[in-house]
Amino acid sequence: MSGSVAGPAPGGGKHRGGIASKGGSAMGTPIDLDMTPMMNMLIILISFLVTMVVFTQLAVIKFNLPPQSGGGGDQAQAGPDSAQKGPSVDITVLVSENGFQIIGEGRKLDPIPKGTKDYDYPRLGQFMRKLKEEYPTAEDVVLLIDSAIVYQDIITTMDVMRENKFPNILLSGGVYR
Amino acid sequence: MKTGRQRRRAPAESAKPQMTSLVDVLTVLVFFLLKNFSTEGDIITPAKNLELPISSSKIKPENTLNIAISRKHIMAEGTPVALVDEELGRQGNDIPGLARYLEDKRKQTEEIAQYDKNVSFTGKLTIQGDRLIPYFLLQKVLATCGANGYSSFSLAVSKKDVE
Repeated sequence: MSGSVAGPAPGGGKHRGGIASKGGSAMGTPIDLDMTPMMNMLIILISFLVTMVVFTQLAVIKFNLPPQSGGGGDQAQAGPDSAQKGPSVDITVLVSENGFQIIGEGRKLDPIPKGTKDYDYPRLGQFMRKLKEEYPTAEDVVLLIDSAIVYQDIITTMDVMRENKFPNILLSGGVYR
Repeated sequence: MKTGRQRRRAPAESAKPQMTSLVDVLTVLVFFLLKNFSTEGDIITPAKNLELPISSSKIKPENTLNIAISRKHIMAEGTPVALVDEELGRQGNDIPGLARYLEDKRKQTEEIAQYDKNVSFTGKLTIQGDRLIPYFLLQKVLATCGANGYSSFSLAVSKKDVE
């Protein structure tokens, strides 16, 4: 009895299994989807994109030459702005090989000596913050730079000015070597 | 049932890795890189042979005339117009090679501007300088550009990594 029952059962099972696997392959579920060309394409795409990725993020610092050297450009934007904010305060930062010196409104602040390796940017920042408190409307700073100063130091000095809310940076010319 | 088939097949055919997950990973990577790629926008390609200074500025670069100052050459739009050593030895603020180039470029733009109202001479410049060039050289370049009507500068810098 049990044998006769057991007899057809495996056969039925086999039969059902056959149908299931047939149905599976007909629906294309797991078996023979050839991914190789797709993979090839993706790998080529990735290598192409990786070579094109720019790792250095670029930014710019904007500034204009003083008006007498030539007009045009963004000066129209800067002009009315500074006119609205009343008389401009004249602050000059001297950058030399020995360090910084801030000259403003006819007086000299204490010089900021250069450290053993690098300029003392935090201290310059403190001074500029104090100046900003004293003259809240001031936005212009003239940088008077010695001709041997390295570009990176100029940029970092400009950064300090910008961080302390002196956005209009002017470079003083006429310092010949 | 299934395992039985796989076990029977495996030695006969070559091993099959799970392609689906691999493809998933690669597709995600492709999308990630594509996104990076498009937002980056190659407005300015950093010139070869020079290291830009690092700055905290976040202003996006614009597409303008491009002057690069490497340790050896001064280049305008990729073509060398002057040698750095030569210019460092010369007194005064003029760089003849660069001045000639800028003048030509300005005349060209102004001529085009006569016929096309969308074009106008703005005097905008992007300057890429190596982080070790002296101010003397930068000043010469700025003065030369200023003398030729270019007075709105963008100094290209590479962003600080801290976000």
